[in-house]
Amino acid sequence: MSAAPGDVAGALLEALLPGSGIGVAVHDEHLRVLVISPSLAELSGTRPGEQIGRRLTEVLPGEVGEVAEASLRAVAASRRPLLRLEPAVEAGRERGWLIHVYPLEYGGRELVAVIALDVTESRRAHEHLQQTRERLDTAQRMARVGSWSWDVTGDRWHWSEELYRIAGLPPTAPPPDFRALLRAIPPEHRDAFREITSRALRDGRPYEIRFPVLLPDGGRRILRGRGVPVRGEGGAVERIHGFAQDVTELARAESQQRAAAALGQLALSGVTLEVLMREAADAVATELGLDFVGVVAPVEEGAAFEVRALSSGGTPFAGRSGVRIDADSLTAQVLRTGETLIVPDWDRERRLPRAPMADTLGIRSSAAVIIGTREAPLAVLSGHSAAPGRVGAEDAAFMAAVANVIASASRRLKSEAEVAAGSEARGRLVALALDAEDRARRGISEALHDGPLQDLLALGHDVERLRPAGEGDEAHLSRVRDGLARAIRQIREVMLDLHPVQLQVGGLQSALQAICAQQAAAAGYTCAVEIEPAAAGRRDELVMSLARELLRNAGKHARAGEVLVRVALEDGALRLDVIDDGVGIPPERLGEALGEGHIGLASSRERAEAIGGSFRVGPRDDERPGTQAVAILP
Amino acid sequence: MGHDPPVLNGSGTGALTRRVYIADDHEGYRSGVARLVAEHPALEVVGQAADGEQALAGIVECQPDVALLDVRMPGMNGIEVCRRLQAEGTAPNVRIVLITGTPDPVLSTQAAEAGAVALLGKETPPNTIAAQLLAAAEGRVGWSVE
Repeated sequence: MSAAPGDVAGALLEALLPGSGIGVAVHDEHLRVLVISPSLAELSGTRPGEQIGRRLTEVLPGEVGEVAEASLRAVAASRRPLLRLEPAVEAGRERGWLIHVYPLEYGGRELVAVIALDVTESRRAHEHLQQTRERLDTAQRMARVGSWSWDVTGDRWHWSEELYRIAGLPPTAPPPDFRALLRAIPPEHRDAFREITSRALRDGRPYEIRFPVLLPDGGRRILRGRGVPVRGEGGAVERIHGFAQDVTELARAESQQRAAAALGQLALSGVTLEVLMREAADAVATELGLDFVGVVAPVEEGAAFEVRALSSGGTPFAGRSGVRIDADSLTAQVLRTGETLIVPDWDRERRLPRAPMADTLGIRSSAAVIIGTREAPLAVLSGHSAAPGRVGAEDAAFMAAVANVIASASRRLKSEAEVAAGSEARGRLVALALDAEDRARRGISEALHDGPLQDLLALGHDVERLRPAGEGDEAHLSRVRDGLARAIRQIREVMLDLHPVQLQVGGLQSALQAICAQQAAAAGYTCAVEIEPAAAGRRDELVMSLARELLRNAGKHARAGEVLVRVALEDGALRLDVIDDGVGIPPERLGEALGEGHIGLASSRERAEAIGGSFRVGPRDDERPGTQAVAILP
Repeated sequence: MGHDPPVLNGSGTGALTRRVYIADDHEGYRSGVARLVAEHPALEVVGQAADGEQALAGIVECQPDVALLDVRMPGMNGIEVCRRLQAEGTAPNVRIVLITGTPDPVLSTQAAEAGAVALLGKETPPNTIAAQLLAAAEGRVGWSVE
């Protein structure tokens, strides 16, 4: 079992029983076992006595013995120690041994000693720690979150691997201190960073900050940082733990979202498509950091193209028309297929011929999206960079969003133009229809005046000449006279409603006064007419027609007590005011009235606008209670 | 329409018969008025017209004592005929009485400004019309509206 079984060393060796966790052995020049503890012998399933004088290849089966003896041989030959970790399975449990093989000079002999340490538990703990670290690292990498801690007292920093990655630094480099960190922040953001850190040190409260950092490779990232100060026993902040998250993508997405929303707002503000395209090109260039962005539209079935907007790093320059674009170019291809195209590197592009601008402008990567649809293409939005691989799918996605804004704006502008044209045509038709109605009214009124009215008046004279011949004739004659007078009155009423014939002889003043008197009597208000002499005879028919409608409204809706009709000249145009002291008209009521089919005011507006004038109804200019309608008729 | 020279009336009183010219585009009304004038002992119809142009020429030619003109007539209205006669001075002694189917105050003012001595409504009773014409012819009418 040992060279000197009775001595102390031998006793110590004997004490190293299986399960003690430490094993020792000494091999002679021929690598045979000189001494071995029971604990080590047990590793190969033997007892010490069975191994003494034998080599490991004889004791351990197969490859295990070969490997173990190779270690002994290597140390015997090199006379240099060797440390290796040896996995083993004992009683079905995986175990790990740290084997230290070293040369041993003893009594002039060159022996080889082995000390084995059972590190199963510590190895497990280590592996667990390692796994935890790896998991944490993976999680940090996935979330692009790096953690850090700052020992304020000793000014020592600890950074997680991911934080190194985010900062673009090699993980083997020492973590930068506060000053180095400040240097990585663009100057305009340093004060905020410095200030928030000082405050955290002062008041010990957690804080959050978003700030950009400049990477060693020239890149730029946006970080969201959070720090949690920890106070020492004295109350002062001794340590800050924190994390920093790379929110560059998020910030970019937010910024792009804002840019797209701003373009949408601009589109709704009523700018022309030209302005919108120019702004869109600038936004794409700025947001994506591209060198050239263009909007190219086909002219007449794609025979020629027009550069509608062009932006170079946010600097617009004027468009050109009639640009020749090859049929197999990027733009033509996108127009043909309606698909988004991305060229990561023009130097390696095989699908498309090399674009001439690739050489003239030094463009290496491009993306192009259609504005509109393949069936109804409006234009192509393309973005280009001088760096290969710089323009990618994410950029194309933003460009597609911008293209959508332009396409919707174009559709909206088109439909607005159609609605406006339709409305104008409708307005003209309404005005024509109303003019025709006026003519018809006038015709009927004149026919009534010249025909039935005169007949009745003449008849009246004839009746006056009749003398009663018998009893009861006087009563008959009286009834005839009354009937005639009634019929004459009714015809005059109808004529006024239709068209006052006074206009032809008495002019506007006479006609307006006749209408006023009629409406005032019907509605129970008093009415005054003021006409500037020079204003008469210009658009008498229209003025009278509008005034009649407004006077009717004053009676029916405004419940007016007094109404003034005023016709005057203003800046060379005719101005008709109908002002009442009634209940007034809420602005929304005009729209409602139209919706309910009351077209009086709406048709008045159409008639005024049809001749290039205007019409409004609202509160009185003098701010007194009531309504004022104003028609300006050029 | 015929034009007759002023004559003594047939009543034998020796009083002058006032010569009346009538213009109205409504034949029925005009003939009714002509009849009542003709039947009046101190009035006689010296001419008739159915429009303004004809009336202007007839009045100048006939030089009646009084002309009864409808306000609304084709071509030239009664007020315009009145204005022309005043402006041209071609019938300085004629008194003009206007008559209308649609009387109103503005028309009265315009009739007065044009030089007419009266504006009558067409429903004015025949006797009143005749009396107004006589009064006008004799210069007894200032200005009145019936």
